[in-house]
Amino acid sequence: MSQPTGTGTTGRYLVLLEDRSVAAGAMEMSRVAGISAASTADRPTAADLTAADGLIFQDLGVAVVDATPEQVAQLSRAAEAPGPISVVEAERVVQAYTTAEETAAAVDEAVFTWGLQAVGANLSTATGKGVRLAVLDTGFAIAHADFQGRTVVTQSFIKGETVDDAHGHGTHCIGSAAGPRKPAAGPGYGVAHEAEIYAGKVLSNAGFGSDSGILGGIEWAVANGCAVISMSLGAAVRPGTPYSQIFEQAATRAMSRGSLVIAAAGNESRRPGTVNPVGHPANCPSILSVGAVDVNRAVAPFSCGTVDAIGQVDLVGPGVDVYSSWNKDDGAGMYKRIQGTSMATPHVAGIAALIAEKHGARGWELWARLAQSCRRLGLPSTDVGGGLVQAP
Amino acid sequence: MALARHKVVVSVADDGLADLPAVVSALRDAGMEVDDVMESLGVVTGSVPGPAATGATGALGAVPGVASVEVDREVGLPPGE
Repeated sequence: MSQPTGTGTTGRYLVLLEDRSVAAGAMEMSRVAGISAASTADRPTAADLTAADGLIFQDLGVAVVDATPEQVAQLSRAAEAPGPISVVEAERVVQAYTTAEETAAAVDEAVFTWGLQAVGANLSTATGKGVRLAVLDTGFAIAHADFQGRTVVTQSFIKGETVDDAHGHGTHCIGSAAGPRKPAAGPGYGVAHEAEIYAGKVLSNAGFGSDSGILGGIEWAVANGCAVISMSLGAAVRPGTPYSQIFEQAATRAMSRGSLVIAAAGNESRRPGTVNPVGHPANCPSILSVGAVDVNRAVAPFSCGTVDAIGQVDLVGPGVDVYSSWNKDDGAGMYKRIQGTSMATPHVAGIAALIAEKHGARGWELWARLAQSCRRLGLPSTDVGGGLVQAP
Repeated sequence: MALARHKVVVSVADDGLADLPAVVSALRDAGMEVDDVMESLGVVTGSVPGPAATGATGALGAVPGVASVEVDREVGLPPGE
């Protein structure tokens, strides 16, 4: 008898009968072991089944039988000898393959966030040293302990508000792009941990801004020689909406000056079911548009997708359950876990800074290297573009 | 009575970048109150009188050296953040 390995048997046995010898097999089981099995060919009643020692599945040539240890031994001997009984096995308990509960962060985040690990930042020798990285957002909590000693240049484009981040979003994005690898407490969370930080406040403490303020921020970053400009902001657009000619031209001019503009694709999708287009200004062809994936490399439910001929998702970054710096202590230190394509974007910006440092790449070459080195995900390109950004 | 103004963003065409001050001056002549001139990007921001999508915006578009005129939209954090 071939005995299944492991546990989980029912106490019954499966008897495989030789092809085209099912009737002979039934007689043989009766002869060698005294087992009387009903056959599906005879359309047995419930009473027949209760009286029988088992049931033969005629079309399969398999019998399922109750057998004593002595009968099992007799059947096994018959299986080893020539004849219509070929195999005897203990019947196993089987169950449906269930999808494992989506356990959050199967990744160990004791040393580095899952995001740093997913993009391979923790394995790269590049640090972003000497590269200027602009984050245009709600500002920056300059006093944050994790950034003391770093080069930080700031400018506010919001009337009546200093660069100080009373919202938290900007501080979180700067943390993912350029925060530390060894903070005082908790996991390392910054991709380009030695990049020079240019924090431009183009969104108010309430989270609002305008085209003119954002263009002002881009202009400032370009004038300061920032190789990377990260923009976790946008406005939703309806399908078919043309992209902004002005932002497109600004992005190409920034590119020609060596500044790559990277922007969040937007959070308007409600997957499964609803996929909404990449927002403004990420929908401009010359602005690199970033979608979000989770720890399982699945597209985030909110992540905008490629809906129109122009306005594509170019690549994706970690954007769910992202741990980074925050502007105030809400009970877990000056850190917070949040989600959004806004969180994916600074991961990509940080990687861009690493590539800029390692290869000296700027502008279109930097875009090409980002796209070329993405990890392919086996998901629709309309959702993830070239895939998950990877450190050099 | 002062007319309501609306904010606009103007991009300057490549052939207008060589003499950006001349384009800015022409924009002022066309009724634009200029807030900022971004030389690296070739962008001029400001406002024009009257409600949006009226003649003032079209007048700016007709200025030599101007590539595009767009209404200055509100942009913010993506929803849910």
